[in-house]
Amino acid sequence: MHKKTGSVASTFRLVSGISKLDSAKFPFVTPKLDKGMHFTFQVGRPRHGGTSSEPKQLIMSSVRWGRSLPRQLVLAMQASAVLLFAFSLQVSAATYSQTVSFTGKDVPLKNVFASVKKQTGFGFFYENGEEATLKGAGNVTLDLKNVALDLFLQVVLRNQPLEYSVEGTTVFVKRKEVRSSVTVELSDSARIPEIRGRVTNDKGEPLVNANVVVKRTGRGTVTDANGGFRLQNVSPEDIITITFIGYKPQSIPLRDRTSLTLVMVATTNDLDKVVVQAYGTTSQRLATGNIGKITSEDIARQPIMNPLQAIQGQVAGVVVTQTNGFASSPIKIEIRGRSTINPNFPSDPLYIIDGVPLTVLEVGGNSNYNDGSQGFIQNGLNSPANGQSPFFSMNPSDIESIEILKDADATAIYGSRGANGVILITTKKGKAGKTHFDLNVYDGVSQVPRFYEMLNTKQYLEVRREAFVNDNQTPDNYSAPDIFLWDTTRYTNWQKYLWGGTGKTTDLQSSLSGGDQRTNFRIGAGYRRQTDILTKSGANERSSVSLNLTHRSINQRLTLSFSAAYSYAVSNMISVPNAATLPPNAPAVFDRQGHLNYKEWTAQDQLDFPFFSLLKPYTSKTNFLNTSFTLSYEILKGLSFKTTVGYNNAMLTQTSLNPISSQDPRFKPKGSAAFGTNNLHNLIVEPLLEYNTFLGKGKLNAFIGGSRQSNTTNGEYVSGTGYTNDALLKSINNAKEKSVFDNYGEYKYAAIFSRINYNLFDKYIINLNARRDGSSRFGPGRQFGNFGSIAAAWIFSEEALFKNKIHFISFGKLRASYGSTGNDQIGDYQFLSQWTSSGYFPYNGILSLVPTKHTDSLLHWEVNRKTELALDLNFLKDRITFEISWYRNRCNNQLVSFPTPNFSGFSSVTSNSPADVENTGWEYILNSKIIETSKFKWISKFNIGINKNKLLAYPNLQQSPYADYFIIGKSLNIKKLLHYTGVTPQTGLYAFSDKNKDGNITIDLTGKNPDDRYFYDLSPKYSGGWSNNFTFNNWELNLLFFFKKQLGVNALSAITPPGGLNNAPIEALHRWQKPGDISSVAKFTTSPYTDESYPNFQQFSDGTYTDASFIRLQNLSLSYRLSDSFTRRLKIQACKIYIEGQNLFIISNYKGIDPEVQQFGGMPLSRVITGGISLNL
Amino acid sequence: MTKKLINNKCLYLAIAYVIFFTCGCKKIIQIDAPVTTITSDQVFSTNEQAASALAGIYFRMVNSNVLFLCSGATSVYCGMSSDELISYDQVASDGFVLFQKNNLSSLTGIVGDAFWTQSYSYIYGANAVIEGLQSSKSVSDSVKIRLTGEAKFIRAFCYFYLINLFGDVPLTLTVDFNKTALLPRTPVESVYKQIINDLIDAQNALPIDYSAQLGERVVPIKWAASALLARVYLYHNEWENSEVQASAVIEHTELFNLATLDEVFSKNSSEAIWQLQPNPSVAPFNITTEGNILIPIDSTYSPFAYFPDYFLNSFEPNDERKNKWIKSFNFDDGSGTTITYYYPFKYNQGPLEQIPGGNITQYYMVLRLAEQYLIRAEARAKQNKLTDAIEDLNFIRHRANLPGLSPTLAQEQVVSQVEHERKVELFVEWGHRWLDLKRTGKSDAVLGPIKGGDWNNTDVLYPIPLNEIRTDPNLTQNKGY
Repeated sequence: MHKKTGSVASTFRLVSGISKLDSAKFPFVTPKLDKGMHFTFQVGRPRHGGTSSEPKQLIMSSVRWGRSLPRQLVLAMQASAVLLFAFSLQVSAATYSQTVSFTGKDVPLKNVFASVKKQTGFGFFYENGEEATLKGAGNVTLDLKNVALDLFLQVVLRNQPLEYSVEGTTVFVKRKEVRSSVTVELSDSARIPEIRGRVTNDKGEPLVNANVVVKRTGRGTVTDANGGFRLQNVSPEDIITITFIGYKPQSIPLRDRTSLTLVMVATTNDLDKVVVQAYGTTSQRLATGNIGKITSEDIARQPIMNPLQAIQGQVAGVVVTQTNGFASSPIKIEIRGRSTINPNFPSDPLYIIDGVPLTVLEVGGNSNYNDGSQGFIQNGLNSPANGQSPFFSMNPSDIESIEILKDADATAIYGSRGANGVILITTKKGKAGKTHFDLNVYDGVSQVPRFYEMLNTKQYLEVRREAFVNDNQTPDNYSAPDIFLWDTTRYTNWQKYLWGGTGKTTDLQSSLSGGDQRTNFRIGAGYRRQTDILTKSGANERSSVSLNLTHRSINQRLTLSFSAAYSYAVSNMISVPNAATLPPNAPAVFDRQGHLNYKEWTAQDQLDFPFFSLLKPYTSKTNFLNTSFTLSYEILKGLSFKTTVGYNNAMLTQTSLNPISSQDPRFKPKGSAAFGTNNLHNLIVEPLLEYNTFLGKGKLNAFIGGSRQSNTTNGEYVSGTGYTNDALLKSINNAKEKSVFDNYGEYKYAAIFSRINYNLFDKYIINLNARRDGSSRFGPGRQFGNFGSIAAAWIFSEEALFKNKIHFISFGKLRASYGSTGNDQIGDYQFLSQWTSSGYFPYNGILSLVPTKHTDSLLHWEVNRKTELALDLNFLKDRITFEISWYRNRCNNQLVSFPTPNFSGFSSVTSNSPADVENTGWEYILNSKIIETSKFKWISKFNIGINKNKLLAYPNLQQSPYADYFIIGKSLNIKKLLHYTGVTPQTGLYAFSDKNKDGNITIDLTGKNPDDRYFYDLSPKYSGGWSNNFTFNNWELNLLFFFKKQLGVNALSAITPPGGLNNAPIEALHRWQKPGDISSVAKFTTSPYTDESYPNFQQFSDGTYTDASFIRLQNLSLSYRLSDSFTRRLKIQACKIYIEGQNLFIISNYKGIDPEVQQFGGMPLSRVITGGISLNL
Repeated sequence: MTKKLINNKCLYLAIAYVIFFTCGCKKIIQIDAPVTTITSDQVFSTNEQAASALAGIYFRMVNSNVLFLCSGATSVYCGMSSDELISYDQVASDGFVLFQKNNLSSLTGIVGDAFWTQSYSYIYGANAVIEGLQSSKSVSDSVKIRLTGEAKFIRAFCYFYLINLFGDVPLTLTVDFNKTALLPRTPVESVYKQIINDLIDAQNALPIDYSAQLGERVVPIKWAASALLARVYLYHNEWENSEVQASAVIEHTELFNLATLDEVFSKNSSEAIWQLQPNPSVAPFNITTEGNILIPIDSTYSPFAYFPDYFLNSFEPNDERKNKWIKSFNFDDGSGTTITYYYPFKYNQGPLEQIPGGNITQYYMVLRLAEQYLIRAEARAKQNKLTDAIEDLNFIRHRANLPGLSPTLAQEQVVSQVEHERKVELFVEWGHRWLDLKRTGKSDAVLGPIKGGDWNNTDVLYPIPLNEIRTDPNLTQNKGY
């Protein structure tokens, strides 16, 4: 977000005076004061001969005067210039926000106007009739795209003896009044005391804080809130360069002009596009830190419900894991490896939506490192999806961009909460210009792509009988109900029974956006319904509306912007039984009366009935509101004050029913139900004082800001038992016994922070961040922490050597950063000893209080020190861009849930660990426009992140609770395993390498006398993505691959050994049967615990680990844009028809459904295929 | 406006701004005390809340839907470890059958969950109360004394079970994890010393009757401390002390009398010295966990555990206890043959009587008078006061409708009569049988033949949970594990 600055105060007064003029009456007043001015207008020539298709630079008005002028006159002229300026503002304010495009060489004015008329519907009225009025007017050469009508006319008529005014939808054109003839001539060598100018974008909006630099001296200035600037002591030979993030830089020879209006054109080069950073914007060119970006186009290609899923494969070093197959499931994001040794706290990055942190206080106590945060569900009442991602409530279509901040430079300004990285989400805003109505609809299906291949009934029974023979057991009713009591001809594919359904997705998005130079808006509305692949139940629905408004005051110094998004989401779920391993001839799920078939399943109590959850509905309803309000005011030129107030609120209600019909009737059960609510509030106020100026020859951007945040998260649920009738379940009133559980957390946070960025010649940049943070999560005296970073970038391609000699390198940058960030994600009140009333249950009439945890009153900040070095290289006019970064993050004073022996009272204490954990890694990004012709384009983007995790130090590790888990110098994800050597041909049992040669295979978890000293690192070796975008005429094809190199649990070998009362994969048939057999599967057994080699193989050996690397076609989208002629006939701007697919195929040696779903029988990731149409009206 | 002035103004603004924020900081991040929890200081700020801290321990002891130390684990699992109960399920890998076969390992979850962790969590609660009251300035002295007494009683009670189940255990007397987390095991003798001291303190601090609890016998009074002390002295072979303490309880006939067999486990039965009161709002609601688990639902459900014949056969003919406290049912395992199983019925409310909010008829009995008679009988017999010992035994026998013993029995006969009487009176109750075999050194002789190859002489102690050893490197494992 850029900051507004203003012009000097005197200008302000004048402008206010003028603003009282009635602009309708004086549409184009020629002030009396401007006697004696000689206007020379010209359209600037493009610097590179004008052959390229780039829009030409526009220099609009120029006035020359000299110091020989009488002082009064100069004053008068200044005043008139200001008037003119104010006046154009008046015009702007009254203008219709129509935009016009025109390209042509030496075109008569007549034709230009005709085109304008056609494009806008505006009529032209000529004062003296068309011919007479346009007599003597020259032809024009133009290349303008989507320029506001007003500006367009100004440009067209600059050189002409004509002037215009707009009233209603009519443009009045008349001959220019003859002005007084005071002409000021200057000697060529004269220095110009001051030039003035104004910088706007092609929509006529002023660009604030644009850099205006005189090339010769290197000195410059920045534009004020109105886009205006002044430069002193320039000479006509000077060239001035104007740069602004997101726009093409312009260099203009001053010649004899003293006043300029510059229209900047948005860049098409990725290097200069806007990248959102903490408290501001930057570009890839100028960034000193590491920021990955996902655009709205990247998101739009994927038919996803949760926007975080779009990050997968697109940003190097970021691993996104959807923790289960439910649409609302928590999504775990890990940036640059595991930095904590603690398995108990989630390591989520900090999420910020339009400047408002979406902080969830982990008061529910069910979140952990592996499963991620439980998100909005914090009352302790768990859901089948094990939580609910906050971003399930966010409409991906409202998002303009997602930025992922990785290194110290990018994150240190967030101080204490930047340790795990920061994810910035920016919502879409309206743009000045024609009002757009966009409509996008798609519809699709999702299915499980693959099923495990399991034994059929015949094979299964064969396995069972063989197992009994192996065990020397005679099966009977009790030990083998599947053989004796159940129908041995029955066959059910349980996976298909549960997951065989087809999920349906319908998504509808619409938005209206537009605005003029002062007010922009965007209103969006979306609806999505997605049903689960489960055959029995499950649907998710989300309706959302969003509003973004920006308004600037007439003098442009005050800017207000407001954004709000509200959504309502409903999710219906049931828990999914592990279906794959159920015996294939198990009885029907429902009996003839339609009741759950407990009777047959639980005969002999050998098997638990797994399908009770089918009749236990769970519903969550979530309201989510995110609002952000920003007010900024330019106090003085370059100095602006900004305040952001943000608030978000999530309200989630849950209903979880346990009807009588879902329970075993033998227990004469009663119904029970639980009703939960969760309420999260985030309030943030962030005032900011920013100063932009030129200091010496460089540009200085500095700000100081403060942040106050207060969060509360509370949840409660009422659980009722003793319902005697299922029809009464939905009300707690009908419960016989009720109990209430609640949670409450409050978090306050205050900080001051500052950034200083100094940019010399766009060549040398240094960037300093500092932050002092206070958090309510620590005890008195330990609440505050200091964090900061230093970073520098050297754009060496700007050096003469590269500019003059090494042309094939079009951009080169070296950058480095070092800094510290912190973390306080430990939940609230951890430093206080606490007691809870454990419900309100009394003992003998006295309320009971129970201590809840150990307390470490010395808790303090966790610190993550990050170092990064990176090299950016672009070749062949930026057609190939290459970025390589190396990083090293060292995390210490980690906040962990430190294990304590149970005999001390509790099994853990939240404390600072002495462990020092290091993540080092390389990230490579290679983007290339492989083919770029007017008809066919192929853009390929590749990224890969290689991370190495290491426990660097741990004082006295052997005397710590981690002695058996970690090894200094090795990854935190190591496993100590037995080495599996095969199935012994003589015995048919699994065998392992006897490392200590004592004749026994011993697993001694305390580390003495072990055979399990073979180490395996389960951290992924590398992961990345490769996207290819092809455009051919109106066709566009995009393929996104995601790949990962990792070791994983072989799902097939991780299940209970074949032979028991559970089904096995078809591979089990390669088992050992008689002495001498060479096989990979041990002999079948009904009780695998009788010989320890079975559990040893399954739980403690490397035999179950396998390469789980894969390449996944994460996304494919193919779209066809209807031709312009066709859309024009339909009176729409654009129309696109597309199909999109998610998770289309996978290349992997991994056996099982999916190398990312290593838990055998867990609900697999589905394949989604959708088709849709998008319209722009 | 000159440039300088502008610059100065900016500077002032910025400075004012910074001051505004830094000064406010400490206050800004102050949050209110937690709402759903209260801090230790708050707990020990009033008499009522301090009492709540103890109520929290009792509440947790009894209101568990699974078998924990004080909700049946000691009765059932120790019953399986000894010769009282057989687990129906013979294939469970981490379950009750491991107790019955004495095949526990340091990975057996129940040992850690039901015994170790639970005991220590009550001990933590007791330590927290003792320390909290010590530093409290607002709790009245009389309440301080009484509650400290209760806490010490609980601590002693838990340590008694810990040392008898596990041998040497870490002795934690504070809540400060910095002081306890790395403790080694403390020898049994030292723990006994601590137990005795705590119980003597408790005797001096606790009230002498149940009037303060309106007749409910659910909070320990002085005589509960005496009763436990009598047991501890007995285990410690201090016969005279044991007799004194048991007599002190028995003599209080205005409080304690043997009840009829049907009434022994009723709430506030006249035999009760200390009972735990279930809360009918929390599962298992109005019934005891033991009753919930041991009483079969109906003939289609297999029993959880049952009595082996060799145990049933140890009852003398006409022993009413076998009729009243043991029940049988016929179970058809699906093969068409029905088998009769016998199961404990001291707690006579089973799953089918379980009603949320329902009426409570039985409290969970922790200390009862009959045991005091048996303790005194043994203590007297050991001191060769044989007539007195036989008299004590006869009190118990007569209630079970058995004839009195011959007054001419020799000392070892009386001692073995005590052992027998303890077996049939205190069966499946608080692990009495398991601990008796161990303290009298008869485990090998009695259990060896029954358990066959499963029995090792090191099985008399349960294993220290593996996780504890991994977390505290100073902890050692018991022999045989």
